[in-house]
Formats: sequence, C-alpha cells, structure tokens
Amino acid sequence: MINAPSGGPGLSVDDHLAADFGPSPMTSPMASPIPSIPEVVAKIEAELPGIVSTDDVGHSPKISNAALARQKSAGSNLNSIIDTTARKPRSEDHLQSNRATMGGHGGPHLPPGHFVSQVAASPRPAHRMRRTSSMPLEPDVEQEEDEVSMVTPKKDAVRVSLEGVAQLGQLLCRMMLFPIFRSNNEYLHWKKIFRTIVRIRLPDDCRRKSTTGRATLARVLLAYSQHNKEVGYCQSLNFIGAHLLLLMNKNEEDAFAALCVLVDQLPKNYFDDLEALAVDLLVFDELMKERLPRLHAHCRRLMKQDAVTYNYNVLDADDDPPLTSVFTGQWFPTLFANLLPQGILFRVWDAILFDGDEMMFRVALAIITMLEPQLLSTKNSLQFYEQLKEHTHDFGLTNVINCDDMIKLAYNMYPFPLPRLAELRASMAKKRSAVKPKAAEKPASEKAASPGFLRRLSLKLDGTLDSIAQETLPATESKNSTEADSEPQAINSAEEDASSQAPSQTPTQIQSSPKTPTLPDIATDTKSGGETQEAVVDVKMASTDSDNTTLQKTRSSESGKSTQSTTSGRSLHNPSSQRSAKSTKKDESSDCSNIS
Amino acid sequence: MGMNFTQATWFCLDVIILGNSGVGKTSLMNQFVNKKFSSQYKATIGADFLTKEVIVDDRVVTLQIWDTAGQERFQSLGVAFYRGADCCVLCYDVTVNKTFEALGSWRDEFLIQASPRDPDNFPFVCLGNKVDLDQRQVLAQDAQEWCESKNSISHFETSAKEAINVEKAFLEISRAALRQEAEDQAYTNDYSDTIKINSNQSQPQQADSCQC
Repeated sequence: MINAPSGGPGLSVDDHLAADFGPSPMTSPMASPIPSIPEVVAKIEAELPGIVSTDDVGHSPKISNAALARQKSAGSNLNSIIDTTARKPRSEDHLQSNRATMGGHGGPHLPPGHFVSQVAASPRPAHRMRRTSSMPLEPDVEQEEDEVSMVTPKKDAVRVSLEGVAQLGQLLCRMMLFPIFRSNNEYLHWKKIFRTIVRIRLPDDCRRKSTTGRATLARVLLAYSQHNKEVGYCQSLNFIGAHLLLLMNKNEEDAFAALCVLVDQLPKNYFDDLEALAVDLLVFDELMKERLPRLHAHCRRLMKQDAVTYNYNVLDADDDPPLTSVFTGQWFPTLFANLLPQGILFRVWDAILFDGDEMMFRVALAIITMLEPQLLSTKNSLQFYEQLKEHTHDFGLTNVINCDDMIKLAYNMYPFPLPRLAELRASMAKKRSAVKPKAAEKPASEKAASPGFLRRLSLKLDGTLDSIAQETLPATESKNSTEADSEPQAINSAEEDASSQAPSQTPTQIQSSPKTPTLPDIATDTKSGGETQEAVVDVKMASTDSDNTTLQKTRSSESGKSTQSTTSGRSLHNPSSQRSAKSTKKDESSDCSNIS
Repeated sequence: MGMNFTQATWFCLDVIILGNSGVGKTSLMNQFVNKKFSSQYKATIGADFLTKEVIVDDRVVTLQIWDTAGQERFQSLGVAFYRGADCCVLCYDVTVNKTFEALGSWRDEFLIQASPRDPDNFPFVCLGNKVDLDQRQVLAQDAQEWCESKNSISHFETSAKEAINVEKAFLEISRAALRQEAEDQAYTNDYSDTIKINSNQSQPQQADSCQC
C-alpha cells in the first residue's frame, strides 16, 4: 500500500536528484550556492527586523508522559498491528472484534488514533523526510540553530510573529529557492504552494510557536508531494497532516508515513484531479437515496426549486452536484479533519484504516441521518445549507449529534463491506464522464510544473527551515482540549447527561431515527419523486440540444411534486420558462397532472 | 433600476467569490460578515458560505456569500451555486501579479459555468486585496484599465486585514447583485401569466407524450 520508492533505499539524496534530472544542462540543481545560515539570518534581520531573535526561548521537549507511554506500548505489539493495518484480508473474527471495539466506545486500551499512530511504525517509503539525511549543510548549522528561533513566548508577540512567518516564508523563498527553478512559471507555481503550506495553521498550537508547527507541517507535506508526484500538494492534505503531526507527537517522519498510508486507503485520483472525490460525492448521493429516500427526494426538490428560482434550465439541476456535496466535498478530502473534534476524528481514521474508505460514506451518512429531521424541515436550499452547517459546527458539542451514537450508526448502517460500492462508483464515474465534457478542457497548469523541483526544494528546505524551526513543539493534547472545550462546556455537559443512556441503545433503535411529521407533500411524494427523477434523466439523454423540449419535460416532472411547494419568500416565477412559453402555448389544452 | 419592488419582497442575493489561492477570499468574506481578521491561513476546501443581512438602498436583503477554493483542481468538483449567482467577485492579491493575470480566466470560467442570460452585462466586482502590504506588484491603474476593458467592472483595492474598503466594496457588490436580481425578476414578471398557466396545466401531458 505504500508506493514503492523510485530509488533504492541505499541511494543518497544526490543520487535521487541525479536520477530525476539526469545531466541536462538546464538542471544542475545545486549549481547556485545555498546561502549559509548566518547569511540568511543577516538578510532576514535586515528585511524584517525583529522577526529573528537571538534569545533562546528555552525549548525542551514537553511530550506528556501519557503520550510517551502510548508511544511505547504502541511499539511493543507493533508487528501484529502493522499486519492488520497493512494487509486487508484477515480473519473475519479479528475484524469483527476490532469493529466492535471501534464501533463501541473504544476500550480503554485502545485510545482514539491508536491504529493511525501504529502506522508510523510500519516500514516507510524510502523517500521520507530528510531530516537525518546526508544533506550537505554548512558546518556551522548546529551552533546557529538557537539563534534562529522565533520570538513567540509572549502572547502579545503572537500576532507579529504569525505575520512574520508568512513573510519569512516568502523571503526564504525569494532568497534561496529562486535559482533552482527552471522557469519563472515553475517558481511562481511553487511559490503558490509554499505560501499555502507555510501559512497553514496547526489546530492546537496556533497561538504558541506556530512557526515551528507550520515549518514542520510544510516539511511533511513537501515530503508527501515528493512521494506521490501525481498528487503533489493538494489543499486538504494540510488538515490531515496537521492532525497526524499532533497524533505523532510532532514526529515528522511518523506523520509522513501515516499520511501516506491514510491517503493510500482512498481511491486513485482522490487528490490529484479530485475526480474520484467527485465520483464519491455522487455515490454518497446514491447511498442517501437508498438509505434516506425522504431526505434525498427533499434535496432533489430543493435543487429543482433552485433552478426555478435562479432562473436556469431545470434539467441542469440533475447534473448538478447534490446539495450535500457542499459538505461532503469538505468532509471527504480532509477525511473529516475539518469537521470532527480530534478524539472522534482519530476513531474515524482508525476505522478507515481498518475497514477502508467505505467508512467515509458510513460516517457521512450517519451524520446526515442524525440531522434528517432538521434537514427535512428546510424550505429552500439556503436553509438546507444553513441547517447542515449550523448543526455540524462545533461538532459533537451540540445536542443534535452524539459522537458515540454517530460512530455506532456508521458501523451498523450497512453490513461490511458496503454493498455495491464498487458498482456504484463505476456507474457514477460513467455518469460523470458523460456529463463532464463541459469542464473537461481545463488547462492542467497545476500539473504542468514538474514535481522534481519540489524534491529539490524540499531538500533545501530541510537544510534551512529545519534549522530555523528546530524548536520542539509543546505537548498539545491537554491544551487543545481545554481550548476547545472551554466555551461550550455547559452545552457539552448537558448533552452528556441527555445521552447517558445512549450507549445501551441498540443500533436498530438508533437507525430508526425520529421521523418527525413534516410537510405533507414531502412525505407523500418520495416515491414518485424518485421515479420522476429517472424519467427526467432519460428524457435528457434523448434530447439534450433542444432547450424548449427539454424544459417542458422537466417542468412537467417537477410540477407534479414541487412547484406548489416552493414556498420560499423569494419570488418564484420562473423566468426560464418564458423561453418555452411560446412553444408550449399550443399544448396548453393538454391537461395532465401526474405523469406517474 | 427602474423596477418596482414591493417592500415585502424578500431578496436573497447570491454572491460568489473567485480568485487564486491565497488572495484573501475567505478573509474578505470574514471581514465583511464577522468583522474579524485572522492571519492564520486556512485553505478553503471545496466551497463554503456565510450569510449576512444588509441594507441596500433602504431594502433589507440577505446576502449569501459563496467562498470558493482557490486551488485549481477544486474547480472540477462542482459548481451548482455558480448558477444562482447574482454577482461575481473577482479577487486578486496586489502583491502577486499572477493572481491579477488570472482574473480573466476566472471570469471566463464563471461565465461558462454560470451561463447567465446576458453575459455581457452580468455584474462582476473586482477586488485587489492586501493593500496593507508594501510589496505591491499590481498597479491600481493597470487593474482599473483591465476592469474598464471588461465592460466597466467596478474595482476596489481592499485590505481584509485592515478593513480597508471592505464595507464599501460589499455595498457595491450588494447593489450590483440587487440590480441583477431586479432584472431577472422584471424578466419574469413580464411573462408571469403565461407561466402560471403552463406550469400547472400543460406540461405533464407533454412529458407523457414524449416518453412513449
């Protein structure tokens, strides 16, 4: 599951570079000398006075004992765990027991993130972080390290230093890296990535010593972009990487290894052109149709209503990404990292490692299922988005979603493995490729830049940023939780009480989520709604070119179920229907109210 | 505008913000909606939105602001909300020339995806962000000229960090969106009678007859 490294493990950095670029006259990556650290410091001082301090901030490793202990115990039964995470086929009993553990409350011996953290101990790709590599650094690096540490300890200084980091990043970039790019475009492209990476915030230590956190994360991500050149750097990997770093006590190599393993769980093309992700968004919609037919029909209707309201061809709404994709489009690529609080997040990641990417659908479905009553009561897409956003904000702290229930529901939603998943993915991919041509001819400028330069870059970065950011990171978990919990404490505890009997609930009880009485038209129309859906798609296939005819078809199918229910305050006249008005006049006499 | 609105009409205006990664789309939106700025960068994944009620020309409207991911590959993900847009905000970073150069393709992309009825007159507003920084690469004049050349797009130089021109820009954005919405509704109103008859009566028959 870890991609084979392109070079053998015995190769040095320079060998890799040589293999990558050959003796082309354009390359000579090391041709321009890297400025020595004192030079860099001097330049930085000159341009950004005050950003670099000569005071040692006093940084000793502050890894909590508990974390250390966990790390140790993780190491002890390493082999068995690696085996389970690395290779799928195992005894079903084993799987079941693990599922039971994770689907339940996660026994005390299995903290969240347990399995994710194990991954780091597995054999790494050879292209791992170059921290200890043979990178030729200036001999004085060792002494200079302390000089380059950032000013951050005081709260007042925080803002300054945060901004400083971004500027520092640009500066480093300009001073040291420009010469290694083969063209200005390559430079600009890289700079874009770098700016993105370097300013990423780590979830916990955004206040203190964030400089280190960012530099560390930047290295992990750059290493990943070397390891997986197809993907390079994709926004959203930053979320995953940041959490992994926290889980691994800021050990970059471990975080990198875990990142590789986690991402490898996902289908190909999940991050490079996001095609697989787009497919999964549609698959999710299909699963919703199966699992939550009422809500699915409701969503469809809201979309059609949008088409009417917003004045475009209703048929187009069928090809649109489903309403939920605004959210699943954030959840999936970050593996829920930008949604779930850390404890539950790591449990989900464990689950993904164990049971594969289908866990993403399960978790997302579980969340949506738990919010079904709220979502069903929405009257337009704006309300839908807002409700979903509101209830997933501060996830697990609101009364609506209990994390334990959510995980249980995710496990009990379908049997393992998720039925027809491959089939669904294939058919959705087909559907997408049929619809896609419109957006197909996009210039792949992001891909154009060769990943090779990233490698060179990262090598250099290791020599430079590394020394700048050598501070050790503070232990985070306690701080993180206090920070996150302090505000919604009251809600949280109240919810804890309310859900105290939840664990005893059986999965089936949870599944039959409260079906609140909603708008009558919604309740009655689900079935026919689903059918007309199909019909409309068929019609579209038949006549895509004629605006008039297609429009009539659509509105016909829609009028049966949604036109009367468009109750939003916004004016609901359909301007687009004007286009077809003339052509349909002759058919006015024909009178039929229900096509199904 | 020249259109007659009833005071009771509730307007929800959709605004979409486009631009390269890191130009400050999210920050601008946050500054406008929440009056907050954070120098912590958090890349937008896919798309996100915020809503805010604003008063434009004595009318209360709800602005739904769609913030998009700047990384190009996220463009392929889906564009449902492009189509409902009443105004499109093009953002660039005055300290990075490339972000300015990309505006043209963002505009084209939007017009393709949103396919508005009258592309030439669809309202865009162009924001050059980060004027608080020194290292300016894009001159206001150049940006102004470009905006003129694209059918007089309004142009503002803003700083999400220092809250410079943000309020003003979004007021203009709201106005432009409202104007667009008004035109849409005017368009609709002219034909409202016809539509009612059609939508309730004749359509289903059509579908039936065609599916056989």
